[in-house]
Amino acid sequence: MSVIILAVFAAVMILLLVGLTRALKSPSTGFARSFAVVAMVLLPSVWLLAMLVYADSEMKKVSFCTSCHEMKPYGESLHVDDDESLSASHYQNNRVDKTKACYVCHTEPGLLGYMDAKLRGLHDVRVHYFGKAPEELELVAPYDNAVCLKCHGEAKSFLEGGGHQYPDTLIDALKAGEMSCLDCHDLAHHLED
Amino acid sequence: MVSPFQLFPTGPEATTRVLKRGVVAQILGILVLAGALFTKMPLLMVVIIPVGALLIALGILAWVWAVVWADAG
Repeated sequence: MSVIILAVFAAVMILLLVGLTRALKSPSTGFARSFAVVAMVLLPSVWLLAMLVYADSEMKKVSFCTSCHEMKPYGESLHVDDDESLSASHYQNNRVDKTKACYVCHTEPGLLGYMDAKLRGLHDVRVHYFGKAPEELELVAPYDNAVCLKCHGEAKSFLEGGGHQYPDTLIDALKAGEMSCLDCHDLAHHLED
Repeated sequence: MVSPFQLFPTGPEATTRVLKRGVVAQILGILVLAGALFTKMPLLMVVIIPVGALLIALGILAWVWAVVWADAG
């Protein structure tokens, strides 16, 4: 994938240089104008879009999250042999995309959830490089049930199993956010000492 | 009343000058964005993307200015 992107990059550079020489010799000719559009608008826009998509996909990877030492224990907790641990059981049983497990379980659904995750990520980067991370990390806001429900909400195993029918108001309470999924499933990460 | 076209220099020389600067901004923007391919550092990633996008946007603005605006003036 990177090779293709680099090839596009080289093509963009060459076209820009050609566009530069052509456009500056006779900026008013139709050919120079067409070249200027391709070299200065279309290809850089494609390049920018490609790099945004690439950077976005890179920033969703577990390896990116755990590149900060504060997150290393949480990355390691994905591999712990403990079925009670939500993160480990989801990761090891392929219930989430393994390459972006952190992102999937820490991002609320929808565009607003995506924007919120980006802002929280910026905050974390600022604290990592310019601040001091606390000894014990905590979520900045209570864990939103919507994150669980985006996968489990319509699942038969959730609606008809797992004891979610007792009491019969439980599912409604979870969907309304009156109860947290973590009230019962309380081991999000099994952190080893 | 002063036309907005009269507020900035126009003509072939201005067009060439602005285009040249725009192309430089584009090349820098492309190079800066290419840095995202080679870094895994969160801070660099956070800096590279907006700076690269800004440089590319400046190049596009230069094109808009030189080819559309200056010529229209």
